[in-house]
Amino acid sequence: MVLRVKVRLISLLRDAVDGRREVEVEVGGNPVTLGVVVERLYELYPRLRRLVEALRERGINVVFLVNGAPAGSGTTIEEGDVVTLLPPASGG
Amino acid sequence: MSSGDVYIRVELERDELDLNRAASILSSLTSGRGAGSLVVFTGFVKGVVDGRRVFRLSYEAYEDLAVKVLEKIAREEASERGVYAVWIRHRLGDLKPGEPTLYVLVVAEPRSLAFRKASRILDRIKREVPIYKLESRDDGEYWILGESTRLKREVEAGTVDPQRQR
Repeated sequence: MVLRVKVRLISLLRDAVDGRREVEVEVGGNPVTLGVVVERLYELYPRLRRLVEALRERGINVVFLVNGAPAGSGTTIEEGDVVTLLPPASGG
Repeated sequence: MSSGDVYIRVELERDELDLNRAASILSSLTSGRGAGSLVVFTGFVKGVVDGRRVFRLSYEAYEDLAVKVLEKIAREEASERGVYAVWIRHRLGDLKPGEPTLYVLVVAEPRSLAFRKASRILDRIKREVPIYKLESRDDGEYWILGESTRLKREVEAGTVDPQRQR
């Protein structure tokens, strides 16, 4: 099964994918999981992997959403799902 | 919008809020029910941070989720007895020093409750709402993460230079 998944990025994470607000990744697997999508994303944009890992080392965790809801690496991804990466909030 | 007897309104907007008009709306809606205290918090862009001159603060949001989280915060904080109204407006876009960024208005009785709720709502907005800001100043651009972590934006993105500040 091959899926094309939309991934949305915001704030500093966008800088690591050439400034794009949304990218599309093609992934295979049965089932396709969020972990597989993210790994493919990191292969396509190694700067994003470096950034997320650098943030994690400093205790800053990126949140992964699938269709707007928090998700983990084992979450199953289906055709039409949208993955979003969010850094910590900084409103106010 | 309203929730039961409590007036709740949350907004993500580029425009400033007319505070006199907002206060008039809230007082006219709640005074007849015994309310007499409106607390207004307004945040605005700092012109100096860490001794460096700030040119602008650029806000963006993951809007669908940000509105839902703002509504959740407003509803939860308004659920306490004595709260009559909660109105939150967070601005988006490029804002210059001195320009308002956030408004939190709370009508409650007694007034100590209004102060406490406004403070708590502000704290929750900072922690929970997916809103992000980029600070442009005379020594470069900084992504602000959480309350106080600044990461310098580099030309080659993805190679951030972490710099923690209070």
